Order: sequence, then C-alpha cells, then structure tokens
Amino acid sequence: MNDPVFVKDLTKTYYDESRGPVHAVRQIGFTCSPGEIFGLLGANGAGKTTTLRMLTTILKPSAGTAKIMGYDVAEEPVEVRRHVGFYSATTALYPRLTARETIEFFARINGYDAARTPARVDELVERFGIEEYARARIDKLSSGMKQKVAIARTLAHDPPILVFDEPTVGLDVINALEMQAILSELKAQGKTILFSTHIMSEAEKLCDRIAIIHEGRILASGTLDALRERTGAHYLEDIFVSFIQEAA
Amino acid sequence: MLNLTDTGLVFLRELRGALRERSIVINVVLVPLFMYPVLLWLAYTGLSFVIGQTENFTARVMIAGDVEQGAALVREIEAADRLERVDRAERVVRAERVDGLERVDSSERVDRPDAGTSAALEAGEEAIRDGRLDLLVELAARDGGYAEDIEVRLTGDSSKDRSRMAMSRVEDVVNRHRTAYLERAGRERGLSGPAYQMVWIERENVSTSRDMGRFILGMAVPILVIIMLIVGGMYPALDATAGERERSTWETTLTAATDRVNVLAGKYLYVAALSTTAGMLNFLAMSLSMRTLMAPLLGDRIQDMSFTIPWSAVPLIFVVTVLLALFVSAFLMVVASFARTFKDAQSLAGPFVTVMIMVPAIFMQFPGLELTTWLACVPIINVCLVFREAIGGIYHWPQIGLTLLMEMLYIWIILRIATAITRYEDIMTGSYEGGLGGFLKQRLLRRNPSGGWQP
Repeated sequence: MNDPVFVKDLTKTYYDESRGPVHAVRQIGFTCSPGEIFGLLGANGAGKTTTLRMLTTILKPSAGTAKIMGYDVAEEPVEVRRHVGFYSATTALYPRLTARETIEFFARINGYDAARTPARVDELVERFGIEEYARARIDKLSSGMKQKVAIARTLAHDPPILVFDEPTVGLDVINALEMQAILSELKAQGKTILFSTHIMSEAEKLCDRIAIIHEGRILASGTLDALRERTGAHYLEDIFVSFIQEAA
Repeated sequence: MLNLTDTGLVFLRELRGALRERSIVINVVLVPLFMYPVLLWLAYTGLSFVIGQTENFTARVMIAGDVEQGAALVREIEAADRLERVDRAERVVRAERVDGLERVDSSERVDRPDAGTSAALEAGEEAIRDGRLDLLVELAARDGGYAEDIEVRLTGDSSKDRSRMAMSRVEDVVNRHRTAYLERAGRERGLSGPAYQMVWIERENVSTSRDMGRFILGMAVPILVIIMLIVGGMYPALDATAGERERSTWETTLTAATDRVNVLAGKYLYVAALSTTAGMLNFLAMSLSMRTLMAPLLGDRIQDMSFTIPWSAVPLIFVVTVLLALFVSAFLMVVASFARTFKDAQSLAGPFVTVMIMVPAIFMQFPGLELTTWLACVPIINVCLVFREAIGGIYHWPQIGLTLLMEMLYIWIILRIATAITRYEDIMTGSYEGGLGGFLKQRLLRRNPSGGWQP
C-alpha cells in the first residue's frame, strides 16, 4: 500500500448510444514502485487511455480502487492531481497564452509555491531550451516546440508521479528520441512514470515493467525478462501476440 | 468551498487569452463603444432624410363636386403649401417619354369626377389605391344651409403615408377656413372667440427639456445596452466552453489540481465580467453620444433637450447590469456546455439569444409600460424597465427589490443546473449526445443520474 501507484480491480463501464454498455476497463490491478517506468502496452482501444484517465481523475472509475501517493482517485481527486503530471498527445495547450504563461499557470494552479514559481519557470524554460520562444504565443509555435512546452507544463509543479499517454504519437524520429531521453532523465530523478504505448520497441527500451492490456484486461505484467520466460519468446512483439492468442 | 486563488488564476488566464483574441476584443470593446453609436447615427440620419422627403412632398388632391358653392375653400386649398390640385390622375405620365413626345395612356386617365357620378368617384378611389392620386375632396352644398355652408368629404388611403399626409393638410386648411368663418361671423354678432366656441382648449407641456431628453434616453438606451451585454457575453461564453473543447484544451484544464467548481467559477466570472464590460461601455457611449445621434432626427427641437443621466441612477443601473450579465453568462455557458464545437454552440445558443433580445425589444416599444409586480418577475424585461425608469428618475422600490431578488433566483437556478452538469462525466468530456432539453428531461427531472442506464 506504500507504492506511489496502487490499482486494484479498477473498472470503467460507460454507456454508448449505439453500442450500449461498453466495458472499457475490467478489474485491472497493478502497482508502481518509486523511480520506476511502468508501461501499459496494448493495441488501440485496449483500455490504456481510459486507465490513465481514471488514474489522473479525468474519468471516475465505475468500480475498484486506485490510489496515487495514498490518495484515492475517486475520493480525493484534487490531491491526486496535485501529485500527478499528465501528458497526452491529445491534450492541447492554450493557444493564446505564451509558453512562459502556460508553465506559470500550471505551476500555480497545481499548488506550487507562488514565490518560487518564477524560478521554477526559468528552470524549466532553460532545461527544455524554450528560451527563444518563451514569450511567443503557443499558436505560433511548431509542433516540436509545443511538445517541449507541454512537457514543461506537465512538470511545472514538480509532481512525484508522471503519466504519459502515448507521448510519441505523431512525433518524428528526432522528437520521439528526445521524448525517450526525457523519460529516462525523469526516471533518473526518481520520478515514478506510468507510460502507455502501442509501440513495442519503445516499451522494450524504456520500461522497467510492462503490463500487456487487451480488451480492458491486463493479460500479463512483469519485467521483460519475466515475460520472456513465461512465453518463451524473445521479442516483445512475439510476447505480446502470444498473450493475445492465449486470451482469445 | 470556492478557492478564490484558484478561481482568480482561471479568471486571469481566460481574460489574458481573451484580450489577445481579436474577435472578442471587437465584440466586447469596439462594437459597444463605436459600432452601435455609429450605426444608430447612420440609421437616424437615413430616417430623418426619409421623413423629410415624405413631409416635403406635394400632395396631389383632386377636388370634385359642388366647386362653385365651396369656391372660397377651393381657393384656400389651391393656395396651400405642399398641396397641388390636379384635375386628372394618370398612371403613366413622364416615364413614357419617347423622343420628346409624351405618351399618355388615355384608358388609365381619371378625369375629375362630377358630383354624383358614382362611376367617376370609383375611378378616383382606384387612382388613390394605385397611388396616382393622394386625396379626393368632394364638396357638396347642404340642403337648407347658409350661403357658404358646405359638406366636405375626404377620401384617402390610410395605408399610404402620402395619402394620410394629404388628408391632414386638407383638414388643416378646412379647419382654418372654418375658424376664419366663425371669427368673422362672431365679430359681426359682437362675440369673442371663447364665446362662440363654447369650449376652448389650451395646451401646456409641463415636461422640462431634461424630462424629454431622459424620455428619449429611456426608450433607446436600456434595450441597446442589454443587446450589447448579451452579444458581448455570447462569444466568451461559447469560447470558454465549446471553444475549449474544440481546441482540445478542456482535458488539459481538467488535469489542474483544483476543484472543478473553481475552474467553472473562474470561467463564469470571466464571461460575466466581459458581458458587463460590453454593457457598461455601450451605456457610456450611448449616454455621451445620444445628443449627436438624435440630432438628425429631432432637428432644431434638440436645442431645448438635455440628455443627461442622473448620477443617482448609475449605481442601480450598474447593479442590474451586473445581475443581468451574471444571468445571461450562466445561461449561455450552460447551453454551450452541450456543444462539441464553437459552431455547434452558436447553433444551440442562437435561438435563445434571439428570444432574449427580441422579447424585451418588443416590450420596450411601449413607452407607457411600467415596472409592475408581475413584470418584475419576468427576466430581462424587469431589468430593462428598472433601467428605463432609473434613467427617468423614477424608482418603484418594492418592484426594484423584487426584480433584484428574482434575478438572483434565476441565477441561482441556472448555477444549480450548471453544478448538476459537472457531475455528468459524459457531458464534461463531450461524449453526451443530447442537448440541454434532453438533459433536463432525462436526468434532472427524472432524477436519474445515469440517464436511463444503470451500470
């Protein structure tokens, strides 16, 4: 229970006009240790994003428990958000604010000390090389620049847990590699990182432990070596397919 | 519990963004300050030009019947300003000039009808209906009357300005003719004016120039300010809800470590602030420019009028404007929260905005309408009336108190609905398929939080 991320029997069912009740996530459970990168690996529609949205309190679980730094996602959503930084390729930045204003806003609204905020903004601006366009409006920036600002705003309040939902989707190779480097660096700083992807090589390269998620269920989780041992396959792609076939 | 720091952060973030958005600045600042005063000036100038054209035209009057008996009256009509006696009315006259030759369609000509010739009179009436003639004056000697005794029958078309004006001018001539005759006859018998008229009317207008100016201000300013307030609040309301969803920044906002009530309160106060700003800027602009705006319409009469708003009315006007801005902002945000895109939100809010503008605009056409207890309960109209009466220096305090209470009640009801909406994840994330009506029917009134579906 002292794990920074604790998930047990987490379930999400929603109602769709055309499909009726949709079970997006079914009783999943896992934990993350401090300074660990935990990867959720699954195909599109497997339930990765829904899981991460529940953990960041954007969605409310239908059943089960999830705790972030000991705070229940359903009961104490504000405290949970204070301890989490959420980055998603689909969440955009406010186009009319500047990069600097964006980072400052998220630091302040997420509870970062007002007196220390300017120094924190400077630090992030420097760390991500944003200086040149720090005072430019977001809608004037290129997608690569926006990506850096988005990461900086995720880290603005210096949260201990970071949630990255498909962070490299839509990025070119250079930017994708830079993102991977940032994740490694954050891990080295002792941050706990929850990371979803459908790119096998990325999961293989970055994650300490991987959970394979399919149709809302976690089919298997563990280190890459443990998963290899269970399936007898070497490459993650083969491991993934093996678990999917086993579940079918 | 509302966190004022977080609410303020959201408010400032919205405001900062809005002030960088050209369309918001135009709608909230430039349009209220300049566009409406300029538009009104153009409209009033155009109107006064049209009125001037109508007033200065020469009316075509055909005189028929016993012209010999009414010779004196006929001479006065002929001599009257802007009245032209015509003996015939033609459908096509100068329009058909070809090579300097005038083509007259004789079949369409209406000659002066003789008294008692019903066919000719019918032709005259038809000419009036067709617009070839403005008025038909029939004169007939009365049986057993005095030498100058004559009956005048005026035939015109009340649906036409020209005809109404012609009738009024001929009536004036007839009245002058009669008064002159009575004065002459009275003098011959040694009677003074009041003696032979029996009843004598003296008119006196006790309203001061300031009253007249305030009356005009009260007719025009409240409804324009309220239109501006609604228009000024509409764009920010839609932008802060549906616009944010369309830009995919809504989810970003939802990750902020603050209660969602603070986020919504910050957005709501931002919309209400811009709406109030638009309304008050328009109020200022209209108050300062009313004399210039009305000058083309009122002509020389404006010299005697004063267009000043009593300072004592300003606090009340400000309070009702703020309350109305809070009401309109809450309503528009609730409606727009069901839209996925800004365009959707415009379609959803459009009919409501039309009603919010049209209904008070119609009500405010009645100058005698007062703030009664019942009207104090009707949203928007109550504020319009408080506004209008305050400009005129009239204060019905019990009704004003009721207006304030009712506005607060309406705001409270809408905010309760808004709070209920935030409990529904599908609406917050934009996956709800229905609109406000469906939501109220399916979820709030049936008190079924899952919208008919139980997990």
